[in-house]
Amino acid sequence: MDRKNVTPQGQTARILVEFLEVAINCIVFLKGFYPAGAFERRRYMNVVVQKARHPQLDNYIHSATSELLPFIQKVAGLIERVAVIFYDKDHIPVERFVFKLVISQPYSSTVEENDLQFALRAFLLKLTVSKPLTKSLPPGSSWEITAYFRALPDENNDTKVQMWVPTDTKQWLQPPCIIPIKSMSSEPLKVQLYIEHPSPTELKDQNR
Amino acid sequence: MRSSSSSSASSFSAKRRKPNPKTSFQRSSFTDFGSYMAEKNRKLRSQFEEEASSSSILNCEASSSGKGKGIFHGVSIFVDGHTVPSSQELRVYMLRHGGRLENYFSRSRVSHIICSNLPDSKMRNFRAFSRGLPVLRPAWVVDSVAANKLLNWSPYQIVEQSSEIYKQTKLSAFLRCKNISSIKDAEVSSDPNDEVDPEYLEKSEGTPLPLESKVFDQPIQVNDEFGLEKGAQFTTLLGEGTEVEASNATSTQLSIHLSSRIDDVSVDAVSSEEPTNPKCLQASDVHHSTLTDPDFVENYFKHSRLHFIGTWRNRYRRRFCNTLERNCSKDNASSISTNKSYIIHIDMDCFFVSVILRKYPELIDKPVAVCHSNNSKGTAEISSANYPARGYGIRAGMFVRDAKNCCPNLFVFPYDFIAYEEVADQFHSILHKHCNNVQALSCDEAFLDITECDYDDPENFASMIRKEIVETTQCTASAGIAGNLLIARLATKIAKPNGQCFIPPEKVEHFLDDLPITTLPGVGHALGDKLEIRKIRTCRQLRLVPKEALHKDFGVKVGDMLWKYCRGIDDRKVEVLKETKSIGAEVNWGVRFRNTMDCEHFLDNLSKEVASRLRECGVVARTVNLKVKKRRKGAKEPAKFMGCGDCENLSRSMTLPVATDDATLIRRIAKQIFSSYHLDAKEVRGVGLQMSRLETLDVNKQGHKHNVIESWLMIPAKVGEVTFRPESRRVVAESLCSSEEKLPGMQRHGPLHENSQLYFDRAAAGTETLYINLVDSRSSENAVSKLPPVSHLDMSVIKDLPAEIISEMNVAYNGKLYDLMKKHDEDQKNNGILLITPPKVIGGKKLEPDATNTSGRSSCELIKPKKAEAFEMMLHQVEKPEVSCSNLNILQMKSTTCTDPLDWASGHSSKAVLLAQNISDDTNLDKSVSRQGVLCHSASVAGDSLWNIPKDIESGVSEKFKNNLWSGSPPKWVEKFEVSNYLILNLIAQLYTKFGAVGLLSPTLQSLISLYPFILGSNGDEPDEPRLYLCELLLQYINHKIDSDIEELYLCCRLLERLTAISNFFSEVYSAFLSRLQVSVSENYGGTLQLTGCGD
Repeated sequence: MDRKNVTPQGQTARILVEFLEVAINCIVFLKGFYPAGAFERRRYMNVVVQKARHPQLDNYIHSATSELLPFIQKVAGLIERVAVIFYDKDHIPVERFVFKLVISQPYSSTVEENDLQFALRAFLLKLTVSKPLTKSLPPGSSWEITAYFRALPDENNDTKVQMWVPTDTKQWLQPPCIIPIKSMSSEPLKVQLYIEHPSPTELKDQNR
Repeated sequence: MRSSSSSSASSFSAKRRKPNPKTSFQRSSFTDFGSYMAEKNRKLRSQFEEEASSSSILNCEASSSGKGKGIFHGVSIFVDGHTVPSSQELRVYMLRHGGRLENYFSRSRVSHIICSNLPDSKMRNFRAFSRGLPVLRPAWVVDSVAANKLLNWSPYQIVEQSSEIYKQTKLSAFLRCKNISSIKDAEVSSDPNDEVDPEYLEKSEGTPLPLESKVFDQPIQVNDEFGLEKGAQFTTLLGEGTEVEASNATSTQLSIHLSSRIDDVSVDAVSSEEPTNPKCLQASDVHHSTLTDPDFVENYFKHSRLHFIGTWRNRYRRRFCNTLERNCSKDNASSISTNKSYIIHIDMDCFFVSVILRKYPELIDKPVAVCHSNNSKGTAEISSANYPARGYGIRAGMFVRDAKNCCPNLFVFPYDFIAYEEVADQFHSILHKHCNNVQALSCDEAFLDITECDYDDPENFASMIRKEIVETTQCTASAGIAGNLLIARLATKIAKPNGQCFIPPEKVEHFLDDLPITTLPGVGHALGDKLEIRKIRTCRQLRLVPKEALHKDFGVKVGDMLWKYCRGIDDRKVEVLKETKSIGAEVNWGVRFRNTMDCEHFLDNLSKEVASRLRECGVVARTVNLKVKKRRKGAKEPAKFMGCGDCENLSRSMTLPVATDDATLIRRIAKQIFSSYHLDAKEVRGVGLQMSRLETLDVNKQGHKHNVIESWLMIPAKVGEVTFRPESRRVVAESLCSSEEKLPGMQRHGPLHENSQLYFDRAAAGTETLYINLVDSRSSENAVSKLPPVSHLDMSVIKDLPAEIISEMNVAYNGKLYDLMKKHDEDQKNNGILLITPPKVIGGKKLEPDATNTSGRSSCELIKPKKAEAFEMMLHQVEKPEVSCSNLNILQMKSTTCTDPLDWASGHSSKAVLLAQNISDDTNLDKSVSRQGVLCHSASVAGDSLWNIPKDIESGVSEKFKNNLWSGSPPKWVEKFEVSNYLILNLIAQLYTKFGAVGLLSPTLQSLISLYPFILGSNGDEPDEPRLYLCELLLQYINHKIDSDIEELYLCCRLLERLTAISNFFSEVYSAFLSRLQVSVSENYGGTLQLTGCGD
């Protein structure tokens, strides 16, 4: 029983992680954070996507996403959101791309890999045309990948947990404005991608 | 140049140094620099004379040309700057031949200035520099020595630069050339004999202009040295002079220069001087690359020899059109009786040179070449050289630089295209006169099939033609006579120059035996090398190779050719005119781009050129081929100035569905292909654009070719009689390109746009039914292009269009659109107000703030949300610049004055609800709303209050609506809605069963937008009940979807917003939905949905 379930679950998690890696690459490219030359065109799920060429950048995204795998795989649903956060020079977030993940805990139904890929493909397609929705970055900005855990993982158990450090990222005081980009819900997995911008009142507060 | 400038400099410095006692020449008895120089010059002269006497004694026999004096007697040269041969060598020439060489310039002693190059500044102030003395190239000295007589120096002059900075004559100059050339001839003939008598020299040397001497006597006498500045002064003085001075000038050259300054008319005269005296100004000629010359393509082809040869064919075709056609018809009958046929291949001897030499008979035995540039360092290629020059090893294609190394006294002339044209025409008319079957290979070369002609002996016939050519054109031609084209051509090679060679069929084999393979036409370097590897060098060796082996090694075609040629077999016929296969233009010289813009500009011009060539030939083409030469990686800047160097050749072609000669279409395709190479513009060294798959165009129909689509679209009624048939294909082609260009502008005619798209598709398919379609669609066009009535427009869509399109549409509707939009806005506003206060009708366009306030005060539970909605509308209007009602000002004023620090934006629903209650208790709703100034927030407030309402009513009105409306498949509500008494609910249920397969509501709403007006009309009097049902449905939908799909909810929100524009029914539903949605989102996602355009 247990054994039987692991495989599709692992499969879903693997696809999801892979997808996150590609999507984050695309987001960073979309924001124009690095010159376009730092990316190369690749094909993923039959969609043209951009992949970082710089080894360090590529490695950061790859390791960040692949370190999520155990938490998605083993303790399904431990991760609530994965956010790509862009900061201004004072390390105040200006824009957040949030992947909200819901993985239903007990799932017996086998996942059709093709269906999942088809659904995730729509994200990548939508992402490539989402440039107008985003804000331009101020000079001196930075970005990072942040994962929101539902509970703090047990550090003693797993060495890989140590790869993740708790952050004290500054939060917005006001609830942000949300722009949905894409949502999908197939049975074991629900993914939503949306952009968060600081609310206009927030900006006024900052200016004050 | 060096010495002259240094001397002038030193003359100035001398004045400064005069008081200095410690200079080296202080020791001698010189009192000043002037006397020192005088002494030095005297000493140098005596040294020179000593040497001269000794050397001329030695070379007495050689140098004295019978008279006992050297040929340079009376000549005193001053060498300026670097020359080839060097000044030392020139000095030796002078020593030996009785001339003098002055080390320092002196107007009184120097008779000729020798220099190779002149800097730009001296060119501009030519008169100041030359002081009226002839400025000659060193070749004059060398040639005079070689000829052992003093040659006329005028061909060696370096001519002053005038306003005409091109060293090369332009074709345009020739348009007025007739009278000029006569002047020139007169000039040449008026010159004294080749041997210049000393008197003449004396005269030209010693008689400056009267005015000139007047002005300059003083400086000349006093200083003996000329400063450049003084020279400049001199020029200005002359410039102010009158034409009288010009007429007083003794030497022709001088007069030309003078007159060119004095009046503009005589600029022509100067330009006429240029072809005889090519200048070496390559470096200063700035217009020789794509970088600097915007009209590079045009100029390039004006000056291109290859272009001349290429376009010659068209001219030839036109000129000999009649005779050609006559022959064609006859050809078929004649070809049968070719029993003993003879072919003559006739070729002018070094055509490009000998045409030039007609004007310079004295140079006929001298080495002469034709080339763009006469710069001895130049990298222009020799295009043709006469036989004396070939004796020096000069070949066509050599750089001038190398040619000058081989033969320093080479005469280089520029092209004279007019003369070439004239001679070529004469040449061909002679051929056509004597023989009907002529195949012109080039402007100076042709095959004659004389089988038909009346002749006794082919050799006599050939010599008769040759004689006539010489008499008419003054240029010689050689001829080869044989049984077929191949041997005739080979025979001509033997016959050259100025001879003829007859190879009768029986001697062919012997003739070929020892002939090197590479002389066969079609055997070039590549093939020659391959054969060389196989140790095959002569035709005899090649004959030993069996045909099969040749096929194996070289392929069938080349193998066959080799096999036949080495046996002297050539089946080709003399064809009168070969059909043109392709038309194009290629530029591989001077191509340098800075960026893609330059490239595109260049492609622009090239496409225009190609298009005009297509038109000239009256053809259209289907295939566009773009060749690009790209600098090979690591290749250095080419040896040839602005040449293409070592390049990779890229070539791609694209075939169009219909043939075209339209420049814009060609340009578009060319750009497309170019961009597909992904080249760096800086790497491009050459671009060629070629059109193939030609189709002839009926010339008579050309009248319609322009503006067809324009007239079509703009005034469809007028295009009653567009002629179709072969031309209709081009109509389509043009419609394709122009419709593409117009797409953005055409979007407002939705259906029209679709139609043109349709054409495009069909044209791409290349169906012949096109014509019919065209006719059909034209008639339908009239109907289609009518604008839909204003009332049919969806205002909510129109509002979202860009302002330009709206204004354009407004024009199309004669200004009704703006009125309608305004009305629409007001309607919306008024509706809102009406909803707020149903009993009170606040008509009028002005929204009274008081009225809102009062309505706010009199608020019952039901009215509250509506009121909020009204505010939302108002706020909406704030953003619209065209609404300028006074109430806006009031609102804005409030928003600025209001400073109530009510913290309400934390996003927690409890707070929001609390706040909503606050607001409803308090009557300053408008204040709090306007304080936010943002649509979504006001909506959320309003929504919060609304949210409570249905619940209240629900208990009273609809017991059957429980929470789980969305459970089940299909969801429960569908059934309930279907059986409902209300049309709107039935409709929604039906649509949902049709579109809601995936459980999403948005497709239903979307179709509702388009269907609602037709089915229900804009009837706002729906009772409350269905509204409440629908609200409930949507609110439950939010709950249903909030955790999984905010995208869908967002979409629904937008769709509902559009529905509000159609019917008031939805306004309430929308605001309820929106507010609830925002609350849910903030609960689940910790933020509010941003409605586009509000947050930024």
